[in-house]
Amino acid sequence: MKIIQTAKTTKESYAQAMEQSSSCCGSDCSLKCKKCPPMTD
Amino acid sequence: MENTGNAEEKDLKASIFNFVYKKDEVSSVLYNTFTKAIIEVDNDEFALLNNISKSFFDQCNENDKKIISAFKENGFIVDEDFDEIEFLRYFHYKTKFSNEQLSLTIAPTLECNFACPYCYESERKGKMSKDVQDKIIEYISKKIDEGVKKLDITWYGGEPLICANTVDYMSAKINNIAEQKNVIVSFSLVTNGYLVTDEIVAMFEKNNILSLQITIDGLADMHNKRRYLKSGAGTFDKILANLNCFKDTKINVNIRMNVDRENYIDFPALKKTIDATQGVKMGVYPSIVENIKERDAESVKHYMNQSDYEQFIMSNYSNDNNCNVDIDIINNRRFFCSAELENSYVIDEKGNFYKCWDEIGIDANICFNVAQMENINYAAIVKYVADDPFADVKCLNCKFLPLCFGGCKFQKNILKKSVCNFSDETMKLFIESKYIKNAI
Repeated sequence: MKIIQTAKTTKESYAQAMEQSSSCCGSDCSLKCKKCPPMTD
Repeated sequence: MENTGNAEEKDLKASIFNFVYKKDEVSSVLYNTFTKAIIEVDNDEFALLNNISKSFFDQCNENDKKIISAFKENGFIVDEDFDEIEFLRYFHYKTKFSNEQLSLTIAPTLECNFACPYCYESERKGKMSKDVQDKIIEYISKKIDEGVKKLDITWYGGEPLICANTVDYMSAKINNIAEQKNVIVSFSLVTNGYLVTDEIVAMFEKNNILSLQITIDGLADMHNKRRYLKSGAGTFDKILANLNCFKDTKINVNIRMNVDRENYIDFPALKKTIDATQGVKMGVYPSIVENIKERDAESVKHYMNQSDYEQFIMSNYSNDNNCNVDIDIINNRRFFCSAELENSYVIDEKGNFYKCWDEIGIDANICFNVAQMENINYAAIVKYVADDPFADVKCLNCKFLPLCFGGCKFQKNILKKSVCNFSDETMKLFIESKYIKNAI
């Protein structure tokens, strides 16, 4: 087994992200939704 | 923290969000669309995942137990009683109907100094009156009194810097209210960049407008062919010079390149040009030109289809052009777009509220006006807020659900287009190119 990327999201971090984020969709993008393409941040 | 010891108390199952593809005859790559973990396994290790259960785990040797524990730590295996869909559904609804956050995109005018042929807005004359400005501020203040704790304000247009005084006045007022009422506020602004000056940048910093989006559609020739003034004059040189106004400031400038089959070839070169600019916090990202309304101009009929887009992604991730594009999967996504949120609106210069950026200026899509809050067009609201990916069988059975939540509701409900943003092939290309170098 070769781990290329460990888990970036856990149940706990997902639950907390909304409170921590300053952007509307809860993601860490600087501009969001329509302003972002679907796949990027 | 998950239990990763030698004994499992609960029964186990494979995550429904495991995306798998064969790398070669002896190995597979696994990507979990919820946790974003990526691993490469041989066929024997993959068989452990496929056969997983508590009884199977209990019979495994120590080495296999360690592998299964690694699967579990990274979300490829979950407890049998953990319903991944219900978990996502809970946070989707919690966020969608939360009254703790208010997201407003405000266009103080739909006028623009540019005449981009692919623009989806229908320009009209008029600037936001002082009365409308004050009513919007009253609306924000009232929403805070009703429970809003975080404000997210985006300045938009038209070109918002045609009304820089309005941006300044309203931002200052909103900052004052937020401070008085102990509310967090963040500002961003979408501009074509032509009217940026040192004074404008000082106004941004004064008001904490610290995130900007400026669109540049390629190098000079390509950009000037697509994003020109009403006189027809090019804008590339002035926009690039204006970027220097952001030197040594706290402002992040996101350069967006609207790509189609005509200009995508310029993306790596534009990125290198922007990256070479010293002292400005900048990044470049591509966005697909959308076919939202019929256009006559030949120059805007080069829309990318899914295949074109996949090819574009592959070419920009490959090592050949050393582009190193800043593209990643959105983390912690709970819905596709803020139009789905009950507390999110786009506001035009007349004080009309809409759900989606693409609908601004179209009367039929007005949800309500800030001066007549009691007169609500629910039809315009429910097509976004009540659209539920968890009621869609295709979405419920899609391993990409945590990445897209059913996609763009404007594309789906208004344009009646496919909204599936991810295909197996796109995801494989993305993983191979970004994480498994030299694989393509």
